[in-house]
Order: sequence, then C-alpha cells, then structure tokens
Amino acid sequence: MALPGILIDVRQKRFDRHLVIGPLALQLEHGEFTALVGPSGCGKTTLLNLVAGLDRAFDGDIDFARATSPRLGYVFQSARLMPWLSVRQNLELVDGEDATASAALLRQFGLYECQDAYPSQLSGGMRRRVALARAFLIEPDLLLLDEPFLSLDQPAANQLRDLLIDQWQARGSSILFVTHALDEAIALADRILFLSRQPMTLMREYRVRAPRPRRVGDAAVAAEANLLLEKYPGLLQG
Amino acid sequence: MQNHSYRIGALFAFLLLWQCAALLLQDEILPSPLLVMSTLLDTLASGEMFEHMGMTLLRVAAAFTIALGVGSLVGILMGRSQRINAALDSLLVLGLNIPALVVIFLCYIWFGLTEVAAILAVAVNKIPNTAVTLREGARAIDEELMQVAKVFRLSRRKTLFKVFLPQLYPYLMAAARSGLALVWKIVLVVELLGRSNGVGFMLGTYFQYFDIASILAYTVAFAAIIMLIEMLLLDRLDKRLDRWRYRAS
Repeated sequence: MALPGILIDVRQKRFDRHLVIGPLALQLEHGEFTALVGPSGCGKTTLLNLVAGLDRAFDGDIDFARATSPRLGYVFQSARLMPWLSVRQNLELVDGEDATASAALLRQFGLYECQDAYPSQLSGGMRRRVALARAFLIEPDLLLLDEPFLSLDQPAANQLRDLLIDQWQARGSSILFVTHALDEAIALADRILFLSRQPMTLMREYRVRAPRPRRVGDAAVAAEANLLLEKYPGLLQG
Repeated sequence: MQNHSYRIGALFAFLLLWQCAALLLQDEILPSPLLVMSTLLDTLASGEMFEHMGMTLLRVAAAFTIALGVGSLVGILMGRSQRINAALDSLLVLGLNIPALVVIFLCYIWFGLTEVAAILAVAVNKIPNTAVTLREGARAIDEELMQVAKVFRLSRRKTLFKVFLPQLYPYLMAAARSGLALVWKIVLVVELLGRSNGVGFMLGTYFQYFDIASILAYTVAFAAIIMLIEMLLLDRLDKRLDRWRYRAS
C-alpha cells in the first residue's frame, strides 16, 4: 500500500456536445480491488476506455505513477477472442515468449484440455475464462474488467469470480471492476465507488466490511448490501 | 465424396448431350467431343501446346499477382481511410467501367506490343474489382478486435497478420477466385491482339482456318488447367485459412 497508486482525473469527456463524464477524479491504491457501480448507460465503459488509452479525446489525465508504460489487461463485456486462433494461440497472441507461463495459466484456469479448441467450440463461460486468462497472462499492473460475468449462469459466474480473486491475490495487480450488481461488487471488491447518471460523477465511496473470503449469495454479503440500500435508497439509481 | 459424384455426373451429362447434338447436326461447326479429344491428343503429342500454355500461364500468374497485390492494397486503404476513399472513389468507378478492350488498346499503343504492356493491360482490368471487394472487407473490420490488439500492445506485425488480415481472408479468397476467372479470359484477348504466342494467339490462328476442333481442344485443355488450379490451390488454401469455421460446425 506504500507504493503510489494510479490517478484518474477526467475533467470532461464529451461525445459531440454531450457531456458524458466529468468532473471525476479517483485514485486506485496499488494492488487494490476497486469496483465501479452505476446505472447502465452512465458511461462506465467509456471511462474504462479512457483509462485503457483506447479513447484519447478527453480533457484530463490518467497518471500511472509507478510505471511510465504500465501493462494493462482488459476483460471486455464480450470475450473478444480471435475466432481463427485456438485457445492456446489466443493466449500466445498477447505474450508468445514464455510457453511455460501460458501452459501454467492454462492449467490454473482449467483450459488445458481444450487448449486446441477454437472459441466457437466453447461455451460462453469458457470463452470468458479464456479472456480472463489472457488478461492475466501479461502480468498486468492494472486490470480493467467491464461487467465480465454478465449473462452467465450463477455457477459459471461464481467459478470465474473465484478464479479472478485467486489470481488477483497471487499477483497483486490493481483492479478496476465495472458492474451494476451491488452484491457482486461487495463480494469482490475492497472498495466500491458509486457513480451517477450522465454526466457521470463520483457520488459515494464505500469500503467493504465483510471479511474475505466472501461470495455472491453469502448471507454476510447480502446483509451488507441491504444495509447500504436502507441507508442510501437512491444509491443504484445514480 | 457425394458432391464429387454430382460434379462428375453433371460433366458427363453435358458431354453426352454434346455428343448427341454433334451426331444429329453432322456439321463441321460442331465437332463431337470425341473428335475434340483426338485433336487434343494430337496437339499434345506434337508438343506445341505446352509452349503456348506455358506462356499463357506465366502471363496469368504475373497479371494475377500484380492485380491482387495492388488491388488489395488500394482497397484496404480506401476502406480504412475516408480521405483516401473520397480521393480515389471516382477513379475507381471509372476503372470499373472502362471496357477491357480500351485498356488493352491503350496499353499497346502507349507501351508498344511488349510483354510489359500485355501484362499491365490485364492487371489494370482486374485491379478495380479487387479494390472494391477488399474495400468492403476493410469496412467490415471488427473494431472491437482491433481494440484488443491495441490494449494488449501487439506489435504491428502481429496486429496485421493475426488480427487484421484474418478478417480479410474471405474477401481475399473471393477476389482471388473471381480474379483468376477474369484474368485468364483477358489474357487470351491480349494475346490475340498483340502477342505471337500463347493460347490466345493460337486460338486466333485456328479461327482464321475455321479449325473449330482445335479451338475447342485448346479451350478444354486450358479450362481444365484453370479448374485444376482452382481446386488444388484455392480450395485447399480456403479450407486451411477457414479451418476454424469448418471445425466449429
């Protein structure tokens, strides 16, 4: 925690004339798991794209204090695998040098048996799993996740959440996790940032109290979510 | 396998029909397939056919390569950049609509009755079609996958060969198939008008003698070779590049 974190300062982000984000300033501690919670369509994906450097047309700064060229992992809403590459080739695409690292990761993610399969042969859950493995393979300083477990059934989503937490704890990457589900945020994150409707600003910051390990569906997680909603009824409406 | 038997069956039915028509007509203008076959064997035995076929195939290969290379490059640039598209669009429409014959005449007049002029004329005829096909491909590029390449900082080389070009393979294959068909036909015209060897030149010569059996013998032989190229080269390449799609289904 002594290492300097990542500063995200968006004064304004506009699409044409329309103000989408801003002003919005947040700091991510090194190794911290931060969840961004806000109503759908509020601009969370836009914010992640700014942080990822995919969209540079905005007024503000993203400051990765520790590294001048930080390694970024991004898990998108859809898996975004290359359909013409096998599971293994999809991993090697982002880091082809270390064959043992990718083999180890394939094992940890339970993908070793299907490493030669093409994405179209996999279930949705397995595809997300490959996307998660791909993001971890580059040993990211910052990992961005954009509702990565959306539209998965609960057991598959829970498996992937466990994998995410295991890998995060083993590697110490900072994580920025976008979701609109409060229980998921409480189950996964150290800290939750609640965002408003457009123009998106920071409404409230909340540090999760329930001790780890915690999962979606745990009584402690549900209780904490209820408590929060009783205290701040409009929290999820932005 | 089933498909192969259909193919062969259709071909056989066509030959049978032709043979019947020739027998009924009993005229020089429609020689029977058997006569064409024996003419073909005679010409093959004399050895002259190989030389002319070889020359024609070389011209096809050269023009095809140039047309596909230049056409793809132009098409991709036009598909990816609105400015380049705006600048070249009217030229492209012009190129698509100039008659092949005009291009051939102009090339021969400006560059002389040379090999370069002949190949250039064929290539120029095909470049606009390739460009149009590849422009469509470049416009259909999945930006979401390009974002993956950008976030994970793939090298330019990897981005090109593993992310960008695989999306264009179906378009490249379509351009190659229609290209091969168009190019070899135009090569024959170019040879007829300004070369002293090649299949086109020979067809012209036989036309002057009204030697229809020889004309058909050359046509059959050359079409067979092009079909062979299509089947052995393009089909296999297609299956190889697209195996992820085949495996999936």
